[in-house]
This record gives sequence, C-alpha cells and structure tokens, in this order.
Amino acid sequence: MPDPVAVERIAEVLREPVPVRAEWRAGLLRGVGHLPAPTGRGEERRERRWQLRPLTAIAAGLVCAVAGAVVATLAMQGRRVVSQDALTSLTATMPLPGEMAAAGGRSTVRFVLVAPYASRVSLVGDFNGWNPSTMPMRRSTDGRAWLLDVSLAPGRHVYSFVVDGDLAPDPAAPRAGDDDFGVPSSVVLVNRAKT
Amino acid sequence: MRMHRLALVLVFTLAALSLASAQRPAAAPLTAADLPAQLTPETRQSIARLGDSLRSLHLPDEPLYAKAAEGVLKGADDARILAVVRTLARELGDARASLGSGADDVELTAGASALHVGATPAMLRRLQEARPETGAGHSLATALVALADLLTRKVPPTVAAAAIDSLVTRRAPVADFAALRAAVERDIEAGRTPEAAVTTRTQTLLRNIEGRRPD
Repeated sequence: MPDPVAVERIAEVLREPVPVRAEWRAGLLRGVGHLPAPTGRGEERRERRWQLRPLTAIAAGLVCAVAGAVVATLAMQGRRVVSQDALTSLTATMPLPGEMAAAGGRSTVRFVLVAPYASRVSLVGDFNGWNPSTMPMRRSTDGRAWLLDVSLAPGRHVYSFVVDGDLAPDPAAPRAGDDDFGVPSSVVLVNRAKT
Repeated sequence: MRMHRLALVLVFTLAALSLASAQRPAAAPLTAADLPAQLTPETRQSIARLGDSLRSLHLPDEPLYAKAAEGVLKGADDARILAVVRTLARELGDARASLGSGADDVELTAGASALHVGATPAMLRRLQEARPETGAGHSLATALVALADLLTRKVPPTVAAAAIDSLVTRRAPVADFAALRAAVERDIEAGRTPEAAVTTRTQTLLRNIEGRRPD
C-alpha cells in the first residue's frame, strides 16, 4: 500500500503551475488575440450549397444505395449456395461444404477450419496445384476459425489444410480415399446446376 | 460540381466491386505446364504423355497433374508419384468402362476414387444402371463420393455398395448422401461397427424417403 501522506505530497508538487516567463506568456496571448474569430461562414456556405441543390444530394444517396445493394448481392451470392443445400446434416462445429450445387458455372465454396491456436492456415488442393502459398485463410472475427471463400468449377475437388506447416484433412468433410502418399485428404463436390 | 460528385461515387463503387471479387480467389484448371518444377524433366514428360493419352480417349487429364502436385507437397519421390499417376490413369479408364460413355468428368474422377479404395467395376456398373435417367440430381458423382468415403471408413464393400445403390434407386437427394456419411462417421466414433452403422442409417434414410413421398 502506498503511503497516503507521501502521495499527497507528490500531488501538491504536481498541482503547482509550471513557471513560464512573463514576456513569453504575454507574446502568446497577443498572438491568440490576433487570430480571426470563427464565423462559421464556411459551414454555412456548405449547408447552403446542399439546400440549393437538393437533387444532387438525392442522386448521390440513390447511387450509394444502389451500389451498396449490388455489393451486398455479390457478396451473398456464393454463401447462398452454402446455406440452401445439403449442409444441415454436417457437423455443427463447422459449416463445411460437403456437397453443394453450383448455381450455373462456378460456385463459391466457403472452407472453414476451427483451429483457435494455429498461427497460420492455408488451403491446398487440386484447384491451386497444391501450392500452400496461394490461398492463405483468414482468421474469423472471434479468432476461433479460419475461413476462405474459393470460386470452384463444378467437379470433385481434393483438398487439405496446411496448419502451421503441417497438412491436416478437413475433419468434417468426406475423406478423399486415394491417400496414396500417406497423408489423408478431403473431398468437396461441387455439382453442376440442377436441371 | 454535381457530375464531379457522381463520378466520385462511381469510382468508389467500382473500387468496392473489384475488392469484393479480389477477396474470392478463383481456381484455374491445371495443365501439364503446371506440373511442379521439383519433378525431374523425365517425370514431367512421362506424366504429360499420360495426360495426352487420356485426352485422346476423351478422359480428363487434369486429375493426373493435380495428383503429381499433391505428391510433391506430401514429400513423395518421383518414382512413387509416377506410379500413383499411372494407377490413377488406369482407374479413370476403368471408371469409363464401368460408367459408360455418358459419364462426365466429375463422375469419372469420383468413380476412379471409389475403385481405388475397393469398389469393383461391377458395383459402379450397378450404380450406373440404377441411376434415374431424368430429373434433378441425376449425377452419380455424389453417390460415388459417398461410396468412396464409406470404403475409407472400413465399411465392407458389398455393404457400402448396397447402401448407396438403395439410395440411388430411390432417387435420394444429395442431402441424404451427406447425411449418411456424417451419421456413419458419428456412429463409428461412438463405437459401432462400420457395417452396423451403415445398415441402420441407410434403413432410417429409406424410411424417411418413403415418408416424404406424396401418396
């Protein structure tokens, strides 16, 4: 416990005004006195400009709203595939892609790995030539999982995670089966659009 | 001034759109040119020649290049990689022979994988015959992936093939194959035998399919 008397003594010292030379202080006050008083004219002018051109404000707002809607639609496009298809039966810990339908052409697949203690995770597979440097995964906001959305062509894709340099199959996806090199891999199937 | 503002908004919109697309990497198909540089020129040449042969038979060659790249990442030597790639090429041909000329590349690679882990050509032929000719979800790829997955979990091949065959025959949706795989995995982890897990879970799924059918 700190001595209250000593604390009070230190506080007294700190409370004392800092000694300033009188001529320096007078010069500072003179300088402040010469500064122009704030008039608010600039803000008034800006406000008036919007009042005089309301159409500009409305058009800008509409353009922003349309742009936002386009961006949101694009961002949700791939995830819709994940949420609508056969994923409800997969494990609750990971919303992993098991089998999903491509909504025509390529499909965005979200790869997820729960690895809270990993410091670096990347995705490797036949879609990136098993190159661990091309598809680093990003950590989720809660820090528990690692995520990556990849645009894949319809087909059967074999993949694995590289967790801090070690290969790890996806614990919630089907096993590839053809583990010819002694390290298991996983498989994700992106179906063609249903007819 | 107004045009200036609109132009700024458009620039920001385009920037946001390009950012959104850049955040989602796209996978490009592999070719012989993508074979890893760690392989010797002789090995690369042998694999490229195998790829040419498959293409001339209208079989997919991309799985060969992917398999070679996988082998390099997993530390296999050239001899091992070449042996594995040759086996895969043969299995792709076997899959074509079993599934017929109508099978697409996805079904062929899934079929080759199933053959690799213990399915027989007769099992693949049976699935091909059971496949519904028309309608949604008629691809056999999901069924073949599920079959390969069950076989890797030590389910006896005849039991696994019978289970998948019964689901295909009853036009089970894609979700049911995923459900079977996940449930069997859970059951095996809980201590059931692979055979019992597949038998029980398949019966449950078939009952559900019958229950969903309109009267």
